[in-house]
Amino acid sequence: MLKKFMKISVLTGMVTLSTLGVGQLSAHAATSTKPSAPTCSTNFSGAQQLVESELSARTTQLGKLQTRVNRSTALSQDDRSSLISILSNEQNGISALSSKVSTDTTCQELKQDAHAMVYDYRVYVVVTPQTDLTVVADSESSIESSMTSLEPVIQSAINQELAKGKDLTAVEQAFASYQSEVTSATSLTSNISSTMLAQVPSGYPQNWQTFLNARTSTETARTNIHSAYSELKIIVSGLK
Amino acid sequence: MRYKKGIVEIVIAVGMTLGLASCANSNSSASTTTSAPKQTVSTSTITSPTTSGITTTTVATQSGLSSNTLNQLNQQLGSLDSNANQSNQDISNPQGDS
Repeated sequence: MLKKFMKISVLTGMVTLSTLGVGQLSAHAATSTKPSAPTCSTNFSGAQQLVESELSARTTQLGKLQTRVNRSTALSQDDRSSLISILSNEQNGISALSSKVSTDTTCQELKQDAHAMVYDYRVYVVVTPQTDLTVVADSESSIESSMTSLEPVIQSAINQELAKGKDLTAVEQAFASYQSEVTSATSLTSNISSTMLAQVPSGYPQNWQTFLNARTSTETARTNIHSAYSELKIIVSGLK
Repeated sequence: MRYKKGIVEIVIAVGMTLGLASCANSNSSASTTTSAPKQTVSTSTITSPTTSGITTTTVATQSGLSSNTLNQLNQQLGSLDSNANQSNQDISNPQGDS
């Protein structure tokens, strides 16, 4: 996946470099419906508008990320603060670039700003997965915590029923599986948020693999959590 | 109705640990309720601690395990799935090398 992504990125970067003349932009720009990107030296205004458009798209994306953070009820207070800080810095930086680009008068200035837009902020390939995966990891942690806190409750209920002589073989098996799934999920999720929040734009492309690894872990943990939920339904049903 | 709300809060906020513990020791809980000063658990979660209140807590906490807990977790799972799908989409189809 990384290889494929890198291949696409390099390819599209070359395309935008050669056609724009304002520095390496993005696959987004290259694959959009714009039929021919303007060359700065011959069409400064067009090139300027393209950079402004790219900046605007990043502002929109950062707004979406901000909404996801605001809507998440599972984010820890520290992680929420960290993400808000990261997104705020990005928004301020992109906003400042937008102001600057609109006053640029030379291709050199435009190239520098386009370069900064991509390399200094990495909105799509660092900040986006960083935010998404932190939200996911904290959501999983929250559920794992709830599920873990139920274990002594369930055990107590099982003990009560066993004391009455009830056959709880199926419930006990489900409970063992439940505990195993919750333990596995918790282990997978434990360090993801801190790892995600430690990523910075300058770490790209090396940190792309870190994001892929985190996605694998969160997806496996999510499977564990769903399995645990299924076991819990069996437990609850058996204890009625 | 007011008790139910309090009970739901027990289940959600405390993870029902206290509730089922009182279930396991329902006799002692009931007896302590009659001596008002020792109702620390009941008074902290239910606004009007009475003997009947304790009885309701025990029964409804058990039902909380079967309905409230599952419903709450189901909602959390739904939210998680939504967030994970968004994350997968963003990572699988990044909008640019930037």
